[in-house]
Amino acid sequence: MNVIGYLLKKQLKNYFVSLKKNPAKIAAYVFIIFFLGLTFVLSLLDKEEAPKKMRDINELLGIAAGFFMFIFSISLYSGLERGASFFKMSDVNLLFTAPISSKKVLMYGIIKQMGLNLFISIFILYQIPTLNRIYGINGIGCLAIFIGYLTLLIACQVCSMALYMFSNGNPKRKRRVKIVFNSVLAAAGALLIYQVAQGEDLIGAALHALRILDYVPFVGWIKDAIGAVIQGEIHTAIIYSLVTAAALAAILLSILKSNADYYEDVLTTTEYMDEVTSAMQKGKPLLDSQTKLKGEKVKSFGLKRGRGASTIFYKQMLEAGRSGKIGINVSSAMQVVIALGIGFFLNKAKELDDYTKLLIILGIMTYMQILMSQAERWTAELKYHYIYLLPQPGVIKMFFASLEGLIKAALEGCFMFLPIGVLVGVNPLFILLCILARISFQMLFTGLSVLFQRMFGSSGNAGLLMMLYLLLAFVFAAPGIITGVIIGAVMYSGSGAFLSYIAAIGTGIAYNIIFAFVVGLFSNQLFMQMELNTKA
Amino acid sequence: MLKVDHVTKKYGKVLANKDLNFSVDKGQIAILLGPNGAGKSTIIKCIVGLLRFEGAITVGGIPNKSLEAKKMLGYIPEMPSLYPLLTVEEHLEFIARAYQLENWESYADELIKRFELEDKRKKLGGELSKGMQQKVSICCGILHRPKVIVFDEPLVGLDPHAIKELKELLINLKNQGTSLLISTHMLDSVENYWDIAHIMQDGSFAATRTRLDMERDNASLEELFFSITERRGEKA
Repeated sequence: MNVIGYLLKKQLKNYFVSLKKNPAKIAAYVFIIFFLGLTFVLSLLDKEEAPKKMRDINELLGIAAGFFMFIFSISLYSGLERGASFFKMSDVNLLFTAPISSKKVLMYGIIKQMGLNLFISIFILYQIPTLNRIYGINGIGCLAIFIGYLTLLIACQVCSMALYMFSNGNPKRKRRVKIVFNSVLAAAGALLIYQVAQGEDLIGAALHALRILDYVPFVGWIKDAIGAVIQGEIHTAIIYSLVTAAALAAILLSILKSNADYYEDVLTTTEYMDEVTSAMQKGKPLLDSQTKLKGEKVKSFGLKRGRGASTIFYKQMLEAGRSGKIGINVSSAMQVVIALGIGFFLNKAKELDDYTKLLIILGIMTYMQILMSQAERWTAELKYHYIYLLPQPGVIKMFFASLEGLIKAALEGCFMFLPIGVLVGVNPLFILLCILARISFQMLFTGLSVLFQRMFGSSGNAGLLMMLYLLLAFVFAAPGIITGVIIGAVMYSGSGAFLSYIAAIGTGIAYNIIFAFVVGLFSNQLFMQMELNTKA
Repeated sequence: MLKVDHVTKKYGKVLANKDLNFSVDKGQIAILLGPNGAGKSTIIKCIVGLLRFEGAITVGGIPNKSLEAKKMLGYIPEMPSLYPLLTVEEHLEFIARAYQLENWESYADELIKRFELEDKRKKLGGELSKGMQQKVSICCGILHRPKVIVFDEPLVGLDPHAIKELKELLINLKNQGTSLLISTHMLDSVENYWDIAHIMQDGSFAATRTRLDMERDNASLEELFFSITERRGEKA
């Protein structure tokens, strides 16, 4: 039997067999399938309603193109810096050294990567009811978006691998490629901002600006193929699909032809990715050659502060300072920029009142906060034995371990809502409540992480459990949000807009704090009940 | 000093430890011997409070998960677990502050010297080799002068000098009245300094012998070990 086929078949089979021994994973699958089923049922129910006026499909295609471009550029940039790899260290040690053609090995890597991409693309399927309701997209259209996204992910990997091979080992060439890459991105970004700033019709101007992405290979082709499927233009869809496939094949061929020994190029990346995956699974911060820090660059030594459980917090501060991630890290900065960007665009929307603008931003940023909440440093503490052995009450240890996250949430809240609040001119009390809301959501997610750790023996930092964690985060955050919206709506007619908004946010904050408080009450026994799990 | 009383640990349906009973007295070195998968690390993790279990474990007569017991416990895990962004010295400072130690610096210096870590004081945890990490892990586990120290495969990854120093340290600690529980599957590493040995197989004790028993019977620990582990099912 073909060795590659054997390997793929056995790995797949053993994965399913291993599920038998992992009820948490099975529960997660059941949960995910249940939600997918619910999604389909909801989309069917929605169809029975009277047909409504749908939004312009070009709006969705524009958003898709923007999202694709974001992923594509990040992928190419990382490819330029570190390369890309479809492989794991086990492949390097066992497959690269075996007498198997490098072409076959590359195909094996791509097939495995496609499987992984399939898994991480599932989130698109959850958007079906929304896409159906807003844009009237049917099942075929959703499938086209799904397949398009999968193809884009493969294109990202292949292109970044090719780019790395092209520039690796030649610093001059690498620098030139970087300059070209950055210049193109900067020009596109500037054009986008200019057009949006000039346009009176906000969405129209943004969509017009995004049409520049039609000319970006893969991003434009895949977007147009999806658009053609949705609009029933099958011939156009086939043409764009063929162009994409041909371009991918050409790049793959050039990888194989130009440098038969691509093993060396992917080795560094594979080792790096292995470290990253291992660090993520263990919830530990990564320290490697890519990290800014090196021992000789450390200028200040010592924790200097802390006694008992508070030492955990000061240790985290020291670590954060050294990794250049004190207070606001890359993820925070990204969220702040996104919030400010949305604020800038929304400020031009005359049809919305000022409080609604801030509420929209709060909603979007809470959504992002959920997605980012698992990367907090405190969950990493649970993977080291020290916190379990420290002779301090559990609730105190929990508090200090998660304090950094709360401070970070407060800082993020200030950077997000203060400038926007001042820009649109809302009551300072409302700005303060938005900041408090962000802190309270951080408390809620910390509490949820504790529950999650207790239930599944993992902080849900990676893989299937991460997906389950995200779903649970939405489920646990929902009651506060829904109650807040109901109370706000009830008060709107009687007490006016401002008070109703205050009541809505206040309710949400109160729910989040109560949830965190209840979990906190139980967490005193946490370290008596929780088990150290360094595996995942 | 350390008492393990009818402890059973299950991972789902798998029985990792089955009704274990033993104690380690003051100034005694007890060793847990056994092949891979015998349940040594599991019982050790139960003792130091990292796993839930059925039964009771006490340190100085106090339940092992209580704060008072934690103060008396030291643990050196099999895989050194250091914070990658803290230096060697900072790991010791972290332990000293977290355990609220006073006048710990000279003992920390002594440990650093003993394990030849002087030139690594300012090195980050993530920059150290596995052997170096293990040395720091040992220093962290004993800095607060615990009354009971639990070592899980302590010699793995250490260089010959560190092994010699660790052996000397273990004997010093024993002489100072510290109770030591050491898990290992490397028989020659514990040859000369143990007081009582428990040979584990399939989650329970297949045999328990004191050093005096063995000397009286003129028997070898190695022979006993292989007679048990190579003939599964037959109790010694």
